[in-house]
Amino acid sequence: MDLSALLKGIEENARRSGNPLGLKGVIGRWAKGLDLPGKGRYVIYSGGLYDLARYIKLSSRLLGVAESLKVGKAALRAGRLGSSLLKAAARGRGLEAAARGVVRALQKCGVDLAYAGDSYCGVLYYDLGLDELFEEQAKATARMLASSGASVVVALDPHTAYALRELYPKFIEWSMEVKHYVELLYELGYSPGVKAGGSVVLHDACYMARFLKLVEEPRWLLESLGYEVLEPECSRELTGCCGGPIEAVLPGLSREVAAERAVELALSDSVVVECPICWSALSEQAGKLKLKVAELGELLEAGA
Amino acid sequence: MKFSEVSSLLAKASRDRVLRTGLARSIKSYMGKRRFAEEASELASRVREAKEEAIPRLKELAKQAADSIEDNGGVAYIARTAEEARRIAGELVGSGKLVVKAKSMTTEEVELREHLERLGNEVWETDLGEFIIQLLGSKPMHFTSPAIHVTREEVAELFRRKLNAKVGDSIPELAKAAREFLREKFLRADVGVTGANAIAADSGMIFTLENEANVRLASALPEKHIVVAGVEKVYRTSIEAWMAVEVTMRYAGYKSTSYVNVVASPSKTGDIEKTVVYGAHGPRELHVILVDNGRYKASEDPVLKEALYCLRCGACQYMCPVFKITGGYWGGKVYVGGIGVIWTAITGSIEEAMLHSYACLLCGRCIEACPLKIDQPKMIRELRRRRLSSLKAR
Ligand code: SF4
Repeated sequence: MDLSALLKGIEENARRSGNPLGLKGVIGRWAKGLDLPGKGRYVIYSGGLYDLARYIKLSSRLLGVAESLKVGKAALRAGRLGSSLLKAAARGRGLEAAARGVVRALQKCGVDLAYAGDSYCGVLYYDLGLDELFEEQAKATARMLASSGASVVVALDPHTAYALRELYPKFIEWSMEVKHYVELLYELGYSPGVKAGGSVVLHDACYMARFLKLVEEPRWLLESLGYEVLEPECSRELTGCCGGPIEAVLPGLSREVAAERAVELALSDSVVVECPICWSALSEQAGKLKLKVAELGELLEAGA
Repeated sequence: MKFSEVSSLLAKASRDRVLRTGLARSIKSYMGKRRFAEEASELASRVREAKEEAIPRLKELAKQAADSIEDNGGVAYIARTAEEARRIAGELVGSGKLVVKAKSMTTEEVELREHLERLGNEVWETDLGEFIIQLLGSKPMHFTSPAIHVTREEVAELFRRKLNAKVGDSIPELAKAAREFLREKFLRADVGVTGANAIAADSGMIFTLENEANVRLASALPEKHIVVAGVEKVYRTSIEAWMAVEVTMRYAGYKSTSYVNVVASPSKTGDIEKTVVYGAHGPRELHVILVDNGRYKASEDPVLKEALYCLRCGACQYMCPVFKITGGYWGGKVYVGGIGVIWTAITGSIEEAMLHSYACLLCGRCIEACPLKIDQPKMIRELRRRRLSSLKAR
């Protein structure tokens, strides 16, 4: 993989379309038709990953293929997804419904939820050391969220929640309280309309368990939804990474990490993840072991 | 160096099934012993406090340790660079000597064995894992289990080929063959070289952990004992040094290691007319080379200084999802794993470290594994950031 081309591609994409994949008009699609007010005490913010998930899944597969064939890497690098590939991604399963499931669950608890638009939160820029880009993105996001007049941002995934809570204050003026939606549902004592049955293996997301320290809350949520929660070999604070964070830079290695984790998760044929990155990284490898991977929001959608 | 070199190295590691099996076995066994670490977590947080006190005063403490060692009758040196450390050790050893060496990452860092061999000495690694690495002409793949990637069959084949040993594939047989071969070297050795896990500035006591008794022999039998250790191994007091030793063994997966060696001075006796003479049954000379090689500078770096807290227990390596696949191919020439990337930046090539940094998942499991809760992801991200800002500045 040509590292400098990749980093340059990400930078160009970010400047052109506000996200590392260079996709226009994708982020915020999940919220179409929800009809949320523009103002309220709580503002919902996806940070982009739920809309991007289907594209991340496809592009990392392509990068993996390109790396193993050692050809055409430049052509396949982020943001150069051909239009037919984009169409293919658009047809497959994504996580927009999962994000809507979260909104419905919050509404059921009576949360006064606003929507002020959506954007990519910038966390990958930070992870790669592209600090200027991260700062610009943080500023733009903060401005957008401030327009809602909310005092609390509700984030959908652990990376975004972490970025907003821990990183934004280091880069910009930021005074909003940040909650991960699972935290909020736990505090409000959410109870679903329909209860499911059966058992699921929970894959704790690294940022959820270790950085946000949300370990009991997702277990509580799954149990309230009617599932029995099975613990894989490494779970809770010692959870094993899905490999997703390096899928753009070292796709082959990323898939090996995912494959190792998938083996640990194979306690039941249903695996639940709490993050779109985990979902896209684990789906393929877990699929090889005949495991079905669901994102927590999808279960909320079903239980609403 | 190019990123493609790093990525093909990692790809090569991913395809190595023998490596993967060896790693899986060691990791599984380590996870079974993780309770020893957990039992020591409170002591570990006290070691963190000790480190927080010691690292900002590194220069002063190294000087104090050197003075204590000299008061005790040893000779101490502070080597600013790897080259200087090699030169000092080379002058102490000379040429045509037989040297027995215990395992020490710092001697790997300063490439001591190669240097002493170039000067015309016969040098043997005496830790079994390191001995295997030496015969293979390879590099240590883990802080405490250097030969984590080699199977017994490979070791047997190696011993038959290189030592003319008549051995089968059984592990006790292999250990016996190494013992027989090295026993004779210990007895004849002129110089013993060891590392240190901790050094007390107040007393000059030097602590070394081990299981095999090779450190005992290497530090007791030869006439001359040379210790090579990083300056960050210095603690304020003997008690703090001991706490670090106990935490290191616990997090390395032992309730207790077989041995902890404590050396404070050359061997001496005053039994005849109360006149002290050096070199009773043990070494007549003790030389301690404290190595800076980037550590002083790192101690002033607001982000990287935390790496100097590292005890080299290897816990983070056992628990790292990337290490599980790449083993010691990842990290850099000498130091491996995520913490290895940072140590490569401090003591080796910053460029190499920066390129290796991109394999880190930033997943944070190493923080959970680490006795001192060292934040490796933070430092690794910082290396990426610095790389980009230095490229921009060009
Ligand atoms: S970083 Fe922590 S866990 Fe890793 S070797 Fe050092 S002390 Fe041990």
